[in-house]
Amino acid sequence: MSNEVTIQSDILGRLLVIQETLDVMPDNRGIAEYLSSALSGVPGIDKVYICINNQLLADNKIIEINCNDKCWNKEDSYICKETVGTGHIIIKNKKGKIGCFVIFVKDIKLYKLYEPFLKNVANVVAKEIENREYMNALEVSNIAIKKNREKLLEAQQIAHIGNWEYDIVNDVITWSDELYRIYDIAPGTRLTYALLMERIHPDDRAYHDENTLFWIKYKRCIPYEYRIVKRNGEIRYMYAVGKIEQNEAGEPIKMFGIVQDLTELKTIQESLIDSRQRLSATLSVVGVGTWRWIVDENKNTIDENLNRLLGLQPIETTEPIEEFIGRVHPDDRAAITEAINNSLNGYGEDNVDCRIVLPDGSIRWINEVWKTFVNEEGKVYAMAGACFDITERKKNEIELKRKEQLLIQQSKLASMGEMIGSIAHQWRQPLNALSIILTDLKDAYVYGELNNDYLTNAVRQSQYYLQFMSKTIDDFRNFFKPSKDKELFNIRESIDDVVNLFSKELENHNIALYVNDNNKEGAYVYSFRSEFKQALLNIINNAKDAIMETVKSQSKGRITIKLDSDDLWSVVCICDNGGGIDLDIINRIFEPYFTTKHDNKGTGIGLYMSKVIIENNMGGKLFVENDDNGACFTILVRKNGYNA
Amino acid sequence: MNRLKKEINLGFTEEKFVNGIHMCYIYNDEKERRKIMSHYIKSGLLNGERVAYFADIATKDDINDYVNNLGCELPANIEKDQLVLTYAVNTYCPSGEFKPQQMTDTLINFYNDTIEKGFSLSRVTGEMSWALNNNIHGKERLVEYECRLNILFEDYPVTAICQYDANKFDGGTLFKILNVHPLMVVRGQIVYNPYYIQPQEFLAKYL
Repeated sequence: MSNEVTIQSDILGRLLVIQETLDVMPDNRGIAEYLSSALSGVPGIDKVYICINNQLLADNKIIEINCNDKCWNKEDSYICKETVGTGHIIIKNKKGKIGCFVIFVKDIKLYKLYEPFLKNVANVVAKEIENREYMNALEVSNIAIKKNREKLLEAQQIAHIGNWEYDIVNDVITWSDELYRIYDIAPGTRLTYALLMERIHPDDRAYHDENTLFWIKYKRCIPYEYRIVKRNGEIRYMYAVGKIEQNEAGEPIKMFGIVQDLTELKTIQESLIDSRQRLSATLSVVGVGTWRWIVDENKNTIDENLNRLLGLQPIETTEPIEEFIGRVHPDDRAAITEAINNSLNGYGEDNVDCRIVLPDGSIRWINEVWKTFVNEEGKVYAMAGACFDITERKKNEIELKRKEQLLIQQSKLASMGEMIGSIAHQWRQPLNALSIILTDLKDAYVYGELNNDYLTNAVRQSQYYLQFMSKTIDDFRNFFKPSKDKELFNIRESIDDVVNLFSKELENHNIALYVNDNNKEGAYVYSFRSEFKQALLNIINNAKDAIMETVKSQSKGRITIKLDSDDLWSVVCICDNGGGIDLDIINRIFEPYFTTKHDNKGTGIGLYMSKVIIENNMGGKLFVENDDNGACFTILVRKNGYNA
Repeated sequence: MNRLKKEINLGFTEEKFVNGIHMCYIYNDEKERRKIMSHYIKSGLLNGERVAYFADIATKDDINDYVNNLGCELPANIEKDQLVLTYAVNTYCPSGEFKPQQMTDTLINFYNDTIEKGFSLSRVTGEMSWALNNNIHGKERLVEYECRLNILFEDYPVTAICQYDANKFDGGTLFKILNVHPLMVVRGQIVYNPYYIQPQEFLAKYL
């Protein structure tokens, strides 16, 4: 008896410890490991294998088995009771068998004493596992609920949505946290309809009341909008949606629904409408119209502004691209068609100036820019562009061109005065010679020396001088003959033309002109020959004036023209010894009508025209620097091949 | 050997025990562990005992704050050297290898030093997860060491709680741990361990 009491006490103690220890085991494997050790030490038992949920723990290995199988994993010798005759205790819970103990008994008598204990342990294990599963399920469920709640709260916050519930029977209003926030009421505040009405914009209270009553009366919740006023006076826009719950008698007992804060949405909508209107207005004001062309469908959508530009009704229209091109001036159609085709063939965006013929026959200049949209296969599927009304700009450009031409003409006229002086100098000598010949003829007649030979010789000499004079005039005329077309010309020859015409004039002012040509093969330029000479003449003329103003009469003036070139550029430097240009004004000398010459001697257009001719018309460069003796003008023009 | 034996309060249970008991605490709830340990340390200090805590922390964090971080508010009148905090691995394996004799000597020295310093009693607790480090030679002798402590504490009555994390140690090892601790802490209660095997028997059986 005493022994039995001891055993019972031992069993209770073991059971208690097992129960408590199992509780701290992290998982089924821990339980099995622990029990395998704990039960293997029980009197009468040699070894215990634990199978839980079709996993057998044996020698610290987990073996996948079926707990219902009578024999387990023969290869590994984990054999069930039928083969070795050991104990077998089933672990089962309400759902049925979840595992078992396989017990290798070494003392059957002792084992029988402890078998109830083992069965109790099996029950403890079953309970433990059941509890764990329940707790896990509960935890998962709690996590899911928590997550759902968090998601709901987050979604409510993001969407500015709050939900509410009104228990009509008990007159209890319940709000979500977000709704408290939306209404600017401290969370937890006891809600009453009166409090709610306080927040509603005074102008909307009656409307809100009507809607609430309508919902209850007709049990139909038609959504409506209203405003609330927050504590700081801010007005927010609300959108209410709800539902009515009725009792069996059809009486409304509960209302519930959501309120969404639409303020941001409304602001964005208003802003979008506003910005779209403003964009449209802006585009209209600045004369910009847009189009987009879906290539495959050949649908070209033209916005109201572009239709306005085209002289059509200012509404959005869609038409084939051909109709749009048909409105382009016939002379410009080929260019714009080619540009569009180039874009379709992969050249991307482009920019074309063209004329549009309006329905009334008038012409409008537009600048059309567009870009292409390419699909995954690299094919252009759409193009979108904008058209700018550049009629005024074109008018200004034409006017500017006209003014430039006028200035060039003025410049030429000014040069002409200089040239007439040169011609006068050139003619002086042949005129003297002619005068002498004529006087000589008269004397010869008086003295009876005039015979046929004498006369023939005099005529021949006179014709020589007259031819010289005629050539001078031809040169002069050619110099001022405007170049209609570009031509390939030799820069050196143009320089010589200028020098020939101008050298006498310079000599007259005691100015020597030297030309240093370092080009062995000659420098050719494809451009307007006459304009180039005009530019050169203006610079030389300017050099002459500078020398005359600064160099003392007994000193000799000097102008040097140096011609050079590299692979791309021809370089002409015109340097004088006129003392140079004051640094204060050196940046302004190419401005139109800027002159430093006194007594209305200068027009201020010579250097300006040279700059325009070289840079705008010839695509070159003209700049000035001072050297030790005076100013040095450098002309850079691209050699043959340049197509300005 | 005549050592002072006295009933002491362990802090986390109202039941009194004579000093020199050897307990294991197998836990899986860190919050519960912190609570039990902070009570254990604080009550020892309040009782005028010398307390040693062997913390298994990998980093060189300020170990002085470790007890505070457990949630233990230390008494204001704590005496110099009354609370000893060390890194567990340095204490158990000062040479990098775990030698049971070396550690039992450490505890003897600690006990003697405690007496010399004028403290009446001493209690220790160690976080045993250092023994999971595969690089430590001799860690397989942990159970043997735990077993020998039961003999040692008869002559040097140091009260000890060995903390085992059930999430880190496998069930088989934990059962062996149970075999060598006469008492175990279960949910803040001290339970006599029916699986405890007397040290001589255990050593004879397993060594």
